[in-house]
Amino acid sequence: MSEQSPTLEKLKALCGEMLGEGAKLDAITMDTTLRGDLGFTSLYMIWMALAIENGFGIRLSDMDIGGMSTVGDIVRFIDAKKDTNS
Amino acid sequence: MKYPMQAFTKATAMLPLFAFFKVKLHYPGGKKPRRYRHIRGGTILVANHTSMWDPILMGYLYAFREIRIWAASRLYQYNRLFSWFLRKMGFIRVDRDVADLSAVQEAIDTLARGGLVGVFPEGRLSRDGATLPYKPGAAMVALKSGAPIVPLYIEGSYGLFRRVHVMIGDAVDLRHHFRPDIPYAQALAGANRLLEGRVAALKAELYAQRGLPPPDANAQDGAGEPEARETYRNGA
Repeated sequence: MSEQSPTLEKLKALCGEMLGEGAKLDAITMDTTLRGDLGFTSLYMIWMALAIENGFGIRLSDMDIGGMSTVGDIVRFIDAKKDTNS
Repeated sequence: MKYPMQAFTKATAMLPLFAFFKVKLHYPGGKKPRRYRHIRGGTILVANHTSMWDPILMGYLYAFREIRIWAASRLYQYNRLFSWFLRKMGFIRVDRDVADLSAVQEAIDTLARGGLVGVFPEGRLSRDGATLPYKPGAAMVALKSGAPIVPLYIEGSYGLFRRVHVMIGDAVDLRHHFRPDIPYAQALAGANRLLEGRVAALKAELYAQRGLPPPDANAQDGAGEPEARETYRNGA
């Protein structure tokens, strides 16, 4: 998966909205962990799920977000859903 | 009408409820403004929670609109019949001990369709009337959906011919209080405190209107709102 994928870039933008101006978005890669590196709590995960729904038109479930631990997990999930829907 | 059971229950129970609740409505400033006569569109109702009758009262107050109230998931574990009844009434099941995505999604979907969502942010009954810390679910739904929140303060004794007082506050759009570039965690915490402050202020005004001594001062008594607004406008 290219580090320059459009999905990853869009996801970084969503992270920026959540984390604020000080967020180091350039440091976010596919291997960035959500809880460890980004400090996501369960509330952040909900917010991210809702942002993904708004931004990508893909609805996540509690089970979906429960299985995600890295940014790459989210990108692969979104891309898989987009491939299914296309 | 998505939940005919709710309409049926309200219609058949309305007459005895009139006698049981004896509700007196109060408004800020003492007068009922025209804008309070009808709540239109998607709106979140938020109230303190001291009795199991509070959700029923909320449904009674908005008798002619369907309202979907967040109900703790443990209520669905009593027995199958009660669980079925809660589902048919349109209650939204929420696991109050974790961040529950599906409950938030259902609330946002309901609001997007122009429906009412009822939330008791304390998440559980306050047995002694003291305010419990607010869980952030209502604030989160409001920030994400853009739906206004109508805060309520309920006080009184539920019992045959005993009076229940309800102070209905001004609707608040949380999005107007926070810049979009504020980090999510700050916005959510500030919105939650603002909500606590609004309900606490309604309590204080209700006591004043009834000529009672002011309630005990606590951290939530209206102090949250100005501080939150200034903090987040300054981007701190």
